Amino acid sequence: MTGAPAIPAAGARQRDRMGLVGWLTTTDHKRIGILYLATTGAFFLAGGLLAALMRAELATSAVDVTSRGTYNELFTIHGTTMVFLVVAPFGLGLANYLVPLQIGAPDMSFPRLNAMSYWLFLAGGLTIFSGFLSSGGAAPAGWTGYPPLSEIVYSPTTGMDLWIAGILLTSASSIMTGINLIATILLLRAPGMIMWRLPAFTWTSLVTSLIVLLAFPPLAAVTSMLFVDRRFGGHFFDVAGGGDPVLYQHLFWFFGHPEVYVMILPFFGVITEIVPVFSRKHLFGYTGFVLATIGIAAYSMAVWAHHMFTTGEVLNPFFSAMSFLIAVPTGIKFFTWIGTMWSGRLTFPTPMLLALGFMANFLVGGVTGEMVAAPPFDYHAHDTYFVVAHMHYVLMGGSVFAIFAAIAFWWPKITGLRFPDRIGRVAAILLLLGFNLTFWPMFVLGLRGMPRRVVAYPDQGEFTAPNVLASAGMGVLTVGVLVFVAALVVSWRRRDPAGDDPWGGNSLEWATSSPPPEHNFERVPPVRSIRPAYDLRVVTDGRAEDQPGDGATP
Amino acid sequence: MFFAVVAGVYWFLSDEQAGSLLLAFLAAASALLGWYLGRRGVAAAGGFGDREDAGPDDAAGEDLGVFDSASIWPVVLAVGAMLLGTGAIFGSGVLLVGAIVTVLAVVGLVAQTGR
Repeated sequence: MTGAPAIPAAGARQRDRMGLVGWLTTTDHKRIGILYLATTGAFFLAGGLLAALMRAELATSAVDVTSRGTYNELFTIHGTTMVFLVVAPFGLGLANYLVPLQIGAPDMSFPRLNAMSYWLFLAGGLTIFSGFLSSGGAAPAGWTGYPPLSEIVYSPTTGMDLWIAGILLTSASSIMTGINLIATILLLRAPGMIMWRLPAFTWTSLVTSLIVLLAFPPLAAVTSMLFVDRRFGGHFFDVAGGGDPVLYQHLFWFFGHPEVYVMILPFFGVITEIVPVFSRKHLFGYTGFVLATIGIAAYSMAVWAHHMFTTGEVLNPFFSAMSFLIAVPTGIKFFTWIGTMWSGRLTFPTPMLLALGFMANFLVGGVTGEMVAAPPFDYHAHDTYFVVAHMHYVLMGGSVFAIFAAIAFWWPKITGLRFPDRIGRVAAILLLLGFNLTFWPMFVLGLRGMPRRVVAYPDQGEFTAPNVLASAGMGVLTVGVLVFVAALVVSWRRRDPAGDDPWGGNSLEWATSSPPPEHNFERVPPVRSIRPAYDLRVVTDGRAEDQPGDGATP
Repeated sequence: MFFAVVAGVYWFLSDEQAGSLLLAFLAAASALLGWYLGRRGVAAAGGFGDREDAGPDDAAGEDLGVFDSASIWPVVLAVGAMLLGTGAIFGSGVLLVGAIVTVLAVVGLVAQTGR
């Protein structure tokens, strides 16, 4: 089977310089993807440290580890970091690395824009964290930044302004990546790669990018308006001046709710890539998966006020109904995964263990989301630890577990090194146990009425035991994270080559070397189905189809 | 179509005007979008990526466009934007430097494209 390579016109070759200059000036999507993954990893550890400090504080009812003001900064920057600097950029950064490979393209449509996106993201993150260095401390008003607390009267420090500036920079970054991904997916697909043969992760990246374009401009607007209120004498959100704080909530959540889908959809794609590989079966219900993804994106724009039920100023029935409905397409995805695993020949290396953990955790998170979608329940649960538990089950039990799964799955492709599976499995178990031990008690706490974002609670009361459990769980979780990092370090030091296709994957990235060459493919394989690498293996190389890959070292 | 069904059900169950109207509009807007895309034939705009039976030979030697080589200007632009942002907070000195750096970066980027 011959095929002439599809490479761009000569004269545009990227010379991958080594050293700092090479990394500063790179426009290669793979290098930029690696920068994103490494940076989000670093921010994850930083945000996790802030969380560990919070759990240390809440392990006892006294205010003993941090001061009251510092605690506010902790939960604000923890939330901001995890939302804006870890989960969303990881999804977009992974897309940066994988999408051109998955569609058979040599790079993204706009390589310099791509680089710009990364550097703006880093700039934004550093700006937000620089609040800790400023005289008044970092922003204290929660990752949602509600006025009046975030107004100049109640948050006079520059940390709050730095937060706003950082959010604006990261928003610009995300919007640019969204544009780049859409252009790349629509225009640079390899011959035969029609839209209905796109891999799941590419589909979710496309839809996520569409959501980003719709959702991030309102965020930029509302944070700019807050800045005007704070520093230029505006009155957008100030009742005495004719404004309304609820306006902030509307605009923020019009961004905020689609944002949570930006934070989960790429990871639905990750899980959907992993499950067929370790079930040795084709994906069940591909069409349904794609339509469900589009449906989720559409509905996500219509549910924002379910974060505002208790304001009394929104039409509860409408938003409640829409919020219940959004579980339908998500449920379709669960059936896709279950249907794929059904009668499959399952193996359980680290990525698959984490994917299963994802499914269990996300199920809990999703169901509890439906619970708070009912206003009568939400009136009781709003601003309590029930909501904290719900969101961590979907974001951490969901997205972060998928982040770990994605790293374990694509590490061999990105680095060319095998992944140490025994260590990885230990990490996966610790993560699952630690995560559930930390966050399940928070449901109990919330139902018992403990509010969120508080530094202390009554001594010897019904809040004590769950808090102690949660703090203990945090310890287990931390060990799990460190073990996972250790797995990566061990892999790096062992230098065991992984080969092109260690897992027996389905999509095009597995049909090129590990790591891929400069413009990704010496020769783009023919694309006739949704799993071109599988086709190449079975048809061309004659490998028995049910041989699972041997991608992991013990 | 899903939206149309949902709109109907919602209207029937809730007797509530604003949401029903919004959902009906959503259905109509989606239908319009679908009709438009169908008419335009999105595939017509695409290249070999949109032909089911296209193989690697078909696109051999095809010019996919210019993929920019290494460039310092993106990181300079990011630094400029960061200075602009912090300048808005800390005062006109930083703002001015930020503006200069940003303009430099934009000029550099445009010049690189022209080359």
